[in-house]
Amino acid sequence: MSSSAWARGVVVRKGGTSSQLTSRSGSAAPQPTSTSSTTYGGGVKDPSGRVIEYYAEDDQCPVCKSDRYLNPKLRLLVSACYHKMCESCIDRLFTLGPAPCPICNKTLRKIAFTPQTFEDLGVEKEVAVRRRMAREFNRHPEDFTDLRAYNDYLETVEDITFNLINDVDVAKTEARITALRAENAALTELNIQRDEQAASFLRQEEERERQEREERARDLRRQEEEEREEHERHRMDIINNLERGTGDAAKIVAKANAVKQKRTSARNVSSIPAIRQPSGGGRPTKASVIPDEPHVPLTDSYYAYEDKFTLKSDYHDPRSEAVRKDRDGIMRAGGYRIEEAWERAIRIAVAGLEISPLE
Amino acid sequence: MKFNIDDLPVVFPYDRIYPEQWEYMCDLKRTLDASGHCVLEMPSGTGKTVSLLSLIVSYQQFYPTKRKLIYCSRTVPEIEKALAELKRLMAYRIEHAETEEEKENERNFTGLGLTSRKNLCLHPEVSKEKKGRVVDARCRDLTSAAACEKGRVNPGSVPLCDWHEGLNELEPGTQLGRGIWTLSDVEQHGREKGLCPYFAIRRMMPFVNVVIYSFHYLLDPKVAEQVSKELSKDSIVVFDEAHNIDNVCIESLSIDLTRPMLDSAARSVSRLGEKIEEIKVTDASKLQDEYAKLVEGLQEADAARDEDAFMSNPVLPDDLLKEAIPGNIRKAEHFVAFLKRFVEYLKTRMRVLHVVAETPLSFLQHLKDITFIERRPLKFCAERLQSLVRTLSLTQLDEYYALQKVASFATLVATYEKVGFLLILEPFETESSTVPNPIFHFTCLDPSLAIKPVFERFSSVVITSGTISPLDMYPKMLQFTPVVQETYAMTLSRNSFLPLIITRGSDQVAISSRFEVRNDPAVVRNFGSILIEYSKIVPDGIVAFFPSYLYMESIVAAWNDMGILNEVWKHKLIFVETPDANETSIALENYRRACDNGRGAILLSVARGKVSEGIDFDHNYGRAVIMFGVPYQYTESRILKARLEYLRDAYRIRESEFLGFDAMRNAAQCVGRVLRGKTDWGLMVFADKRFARSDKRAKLPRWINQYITDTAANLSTDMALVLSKLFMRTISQSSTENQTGISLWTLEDVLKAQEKRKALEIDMGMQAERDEEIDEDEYGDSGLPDEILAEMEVDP
Repeated sequence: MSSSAWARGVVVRKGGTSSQLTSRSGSAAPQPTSTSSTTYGGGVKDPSGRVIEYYAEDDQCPVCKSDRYLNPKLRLLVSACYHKMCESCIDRLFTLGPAPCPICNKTLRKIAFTPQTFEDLGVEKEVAVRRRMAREFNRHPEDFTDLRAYNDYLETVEDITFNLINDVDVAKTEARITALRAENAALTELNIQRDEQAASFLRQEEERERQEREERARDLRRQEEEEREEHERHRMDIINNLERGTGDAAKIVAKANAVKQKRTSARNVSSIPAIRQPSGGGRPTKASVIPDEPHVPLTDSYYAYEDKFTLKSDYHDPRSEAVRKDRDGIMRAGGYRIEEAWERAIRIAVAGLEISPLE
Repeated sequence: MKFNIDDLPVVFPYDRIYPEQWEYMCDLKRTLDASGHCVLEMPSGTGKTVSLLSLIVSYQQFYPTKRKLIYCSRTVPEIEKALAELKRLMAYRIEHAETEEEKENERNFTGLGLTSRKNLCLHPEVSKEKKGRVVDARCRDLTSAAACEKGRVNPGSVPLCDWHEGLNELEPGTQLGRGIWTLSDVEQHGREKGLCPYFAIRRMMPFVNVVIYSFHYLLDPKVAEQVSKELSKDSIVVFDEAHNIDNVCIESLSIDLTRPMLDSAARSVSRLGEKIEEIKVTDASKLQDEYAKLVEGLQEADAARDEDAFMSNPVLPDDLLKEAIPGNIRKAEHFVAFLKRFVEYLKTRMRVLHVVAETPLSFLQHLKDITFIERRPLKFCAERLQSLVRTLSLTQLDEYYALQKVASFATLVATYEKVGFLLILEPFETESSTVPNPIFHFTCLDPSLAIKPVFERFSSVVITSGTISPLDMYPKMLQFTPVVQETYAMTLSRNSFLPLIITRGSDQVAISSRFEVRNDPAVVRNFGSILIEYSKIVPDGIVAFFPSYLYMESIVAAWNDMGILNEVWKHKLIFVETPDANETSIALENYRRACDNGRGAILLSVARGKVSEGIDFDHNYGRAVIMFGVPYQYTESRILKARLEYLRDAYRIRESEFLGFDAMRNAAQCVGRVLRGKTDWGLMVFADKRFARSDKRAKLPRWINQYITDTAANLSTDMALVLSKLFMRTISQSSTENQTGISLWTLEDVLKAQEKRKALEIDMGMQAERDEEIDEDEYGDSGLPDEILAEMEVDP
């Protein structure tokens, strides 16, 4: 092929088209990556999936004082009480089970050490607290009648979080959390569902956008390829015509150019698809999958039911005569009380539980 | 001279007018009448500024609506030049006004320029500061509302600026008299009367007819909100020298963060925390007041915002401004913790050692996953910080600069979460470096986002420049529909400049700055021989432009080895532009000296550098300009790639199309430096075979392109020299023909032209006119050798 190309005077491009393509895709613009996720318990998983831990040149283990100079592989982990220790110290101190922290004497377990994410350990603790708070206080602005109420709610939550972080009135704050949690258990549950839904929507959206982008890039590449071929063909045509032709050279070229012009404009008209409309993004309006109805456990009080009868102390009941007369209490051994049997019978009767449903 | 365009009497401050100026004014008037936008290209040095001003001022004075003029220019010298031009115009108008009443009317016309505090400050200590940021901060310390109040209650307790204090005794609107004030006039006035020029101008802003300032005051949302808020809707906005307007737009919405900035921001956060603790003990009521205000909503805080507000929020949608600050950053200590968390999070991102590109949406999601920061409070970050700073009445705000940057970063990310933005983390400065120096770019990819509020708010926006071809690119990129879109040719009685395209050296080797061949010795030698030959035949100054500093360095080194520089030295001195501004200005000064005393000099500089943008090489300072290679952008830049991809996706502008457009507008800008007026003359040499391609040539401004003849479009070095010598021989003859009537019109000529146009419209109708235009458009683009070359010989 190449030899014949030479014979016809075609310029053979070094490297060919395929390598050009790969080099282009290799140096293509940075592709936005998908939504990131977190590895809980320290360490940030960045969008590419790698975990990044905090790392500094002048790290030193506060327990054994070894540093990066002595031990190039030094890795410091953070305890549940937010003190740093190197891995070998952790092995040494906690292999035999729970032991006190060498710095603050709090009892620690080996399993509870996590990699460090933030440079500031205060933030590390704060984030841990916030993780807990985020699970429990996740109400949306839609749950409130107006913005003011929502803002007040946000502030309350922030106050609670702040107290926990700075260890102010922990007992009282915990009590408050419990109270608030009890109040809004159903809503919290619902919002967890909603958040998950929003996240999944976002992921889908991203996936779709990525696919679209790839599609477009493919289209464009194909189009460019076609154009190049066209151009090449056009050039060959002119040369051939000039070779064979008899007329004026300028006229032949002008004619060929006119034909090409027409073809290009025709293609341009046909190939311009609708300009991409920026998709709504942001708030999920509706998810493509209809999620299950969120399960909300019964929240009203069981004891709120009021019986519509009063139990008498004694009934005429020959069948339970034996039980009542049993002086040794053998028949009441398992805590059997005849009163309960009566109560049950009367409740069934009053509430009409044994009436069969209407046909 | 006075003449009418339609029914509008126009006063032009000179006796003669260029035909293109007259046409320019006609089109401008059409735009203003239609209350639409326009794109106009007029050659440099043909009096663009004066035509603009004289028409718009006439328009303002004639119609009772008194639309305000907002004139945006790029640099301070250009602003000063425009103001001087305006002053001359108004003097002429006053002189030629017919009745006393009209004279009074003209006298009341007020025009001002605005520039930064650094350029205007009179305070003996503050004005000595070198950095604009520091001047701003120190000025605020002395002039903020809080400081003033304290100072007035208890004189001497706080240092105040006497110049600023002097201003308070004057009624609003009388800080400066009526009339036109150039920047130096205001400064002089301030010195005499003991008034602060900067604040005098700022307070006069609502009362003037013309404001002239830099692009940023209108485009940068961080500044625009503050400076340009009170401008009325029907104002006329002009962007002069607007060929780079898309880059200005993009820069104004982009923020780069670096590691040292984050460290500094973290320090500022802890200092804020300490300050809050302190104030809680001494003056807790202050924080309480702020808190109460924030509960009420931003609206009140907004009303209270004074000119001492140190930073404004990026364009927040209106409904957002009415919303209250989210509850979880309402308390000062909560907000400080919030900032701390955000800064720590950014630090974790900076630790990554590979390039990450993500959309704002995914950034926000990740942020939420890790630090539980929601979007809403993030959006209010800048606003909240501003309020806190005001409450704490902090001084020396320049130390909080990094934190402000971080806060505006937060606000921008949260505000523009949708398309058109990208976050790119580049851990290393160059591909080969091993020590990480991470930069977190938040880049805007869509220039139309920043300029959209301007188009939406103002009914007439005029975009004009000497080199703004191809005209249809700008409406496409900036997303607006122009009423008029016009380019004007330069009418000349004789050719005063000669554009030449050199495609090969004397040895017939094609020359190009293409990456594959740019260091080929043959190409380097041929570039060198062009320089040698032109240094022999051109008198006085020559300016040579290279595509980049790197390429210039390598090629100059090669020339040194080849002995080319030694050869050039025989004829001219050589000066080099460097990235350092001081070095460059010294080189420029000496270059001018060498041109003036007849020794002659060559300035080697870089397209997109300082020299190519703002500095004129008129008359003997530039008799020839040589473009070595096509000044393409550095295409490996990730930001550029992202932008190209966005342009392709959103606006269907191809990568190659945009890159070619960008390269050619820079080339045109460079060669345009040499011709600053009709009495000037010069050579324009394009040395690269790619310039001969029709798609490249079509992107040159019409006034250059029309003089590229077929013979001049594909030359070898020796042929170009013959043409150049011929050109210089003719141009050096004193021009005997009278320019009047052809390229210079008197009043009669204007009237004649108007008659003619009217007659044309009536007689032939619009159809004929359109035909004529089409005829005109086909300038020098036919002929076989050129066509065949463009289509066949040159690689795609």
